[in-house]
Amino acid sequence: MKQILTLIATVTLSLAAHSQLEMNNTKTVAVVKGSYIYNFAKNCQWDESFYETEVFKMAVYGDSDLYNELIDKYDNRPINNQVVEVVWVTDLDMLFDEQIVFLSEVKKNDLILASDIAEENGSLLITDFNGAISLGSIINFVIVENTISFDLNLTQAVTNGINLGNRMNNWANKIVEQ
Amino acid sequence: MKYLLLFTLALLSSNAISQNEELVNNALEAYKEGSFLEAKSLIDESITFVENDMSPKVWNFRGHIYKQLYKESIQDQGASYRDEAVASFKKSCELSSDGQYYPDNIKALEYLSATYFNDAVDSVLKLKYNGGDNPVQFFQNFKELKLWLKPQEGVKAEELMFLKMLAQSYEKIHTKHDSEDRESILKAISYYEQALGLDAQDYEANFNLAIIHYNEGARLIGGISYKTGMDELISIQTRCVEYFRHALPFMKKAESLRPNRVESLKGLMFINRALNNFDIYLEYKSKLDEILNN
Repeated sequence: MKQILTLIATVTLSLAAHSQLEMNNTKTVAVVKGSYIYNFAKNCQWDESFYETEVFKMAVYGDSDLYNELIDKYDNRPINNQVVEVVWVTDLDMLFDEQIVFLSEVKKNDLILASDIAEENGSLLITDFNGAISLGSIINFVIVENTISFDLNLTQAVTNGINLGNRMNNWANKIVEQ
Repeated sequence: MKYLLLFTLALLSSNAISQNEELVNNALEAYKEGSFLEAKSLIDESITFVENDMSPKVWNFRGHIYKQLYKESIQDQGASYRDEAVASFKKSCELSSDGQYYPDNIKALEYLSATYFNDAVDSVLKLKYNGGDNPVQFFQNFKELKLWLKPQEGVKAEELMFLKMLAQSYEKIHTKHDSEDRESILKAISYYEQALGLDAQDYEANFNLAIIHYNEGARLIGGISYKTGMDELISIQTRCVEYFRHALPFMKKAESLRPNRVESLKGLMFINRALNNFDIYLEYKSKLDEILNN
């Protein structure tokens, strides 16, 4: 009996000791970017015409993880007197009256065109790749010591009619005026 | 019961029955009748006599009385009976110059050692949030006794498995009770670190420790909601990066110990993505895709 009990305990111990834990499958990058974007929405000011509707539009172009994150956590959430509506964009022609347009690195070839459209529509163009800030992006996500931060292009913001506010300057990694 | 016959014969061989012998005799009678508590009080009184205190057979008998009490007891009570049984058999061994009781003592001690081990495993399985028996104490008792019985064998293999099992149980408790339970996750980390102290090359300990650190960071990030303000977001990110940085060397080690395993490659992929090391993330992703496609 003693041997049987010990064997059972040993097998139990061995099985438990050799099992592996499971990784949390949170899409960390998308979560952080999503939160940044929602906070940008809360802290920036757009042209008055944007406040005439009840909807605050955010468009995502080229990053499905980010789109899913925004849909999951922020769609229908309030921003001042408006509610967020997240839209997935497959073509730049779809852009019209969005307060925020996110363009990911996989669509970087469309940056110049997207920048022109954002400027015309008065949208806040956000990107996440090197060089974007000098090609018409207003906010570009950058990596600083393994964390996601962002650079601001104040001149482009003014051109697009967006007031970024002082607090955004404090949070930014770098401010560009060109 | 073989030892009982031996013991009875030894007692019968003496002609004059002194008071100390009478106590042992009475204890034997009580034992035979199954009155173990009575036998216990008689044998405990008997060892106040120097002759009995120096007798390997009395200590062997005392060990058996306490062993029976342990077997019949319910949970908490049993622990002290078992400890006394162990102490008695050990003392009998130390006193047994002719070795007459030695084999029986060793057999009984091996049995008791197995019960410590079983209790250690059982109490790990029954660990609860803020409760349950202390598995470490049971294992410590097993370890001491096993090393006393077979010092040349050691207990490294059992101890390594035990520490990993304990760590995993605390991790499960933490997962079940979510973020507020810092104590459990710190214990899980500590037991994995102790396991690595015994064997730095252990795959599971390295892998699971990496996962714990990674999951801690991912859990914090997962807690981000529409209520999270910018200052809080920045603070969360800073804390998470610390967790992810802690996770990386353990996952790298796990990968080096068992190269090209899907789990560790996936781990390295996730950790590097969380650290925003995108080039390295893509390297692991491509390696993983290659393995999965073959």
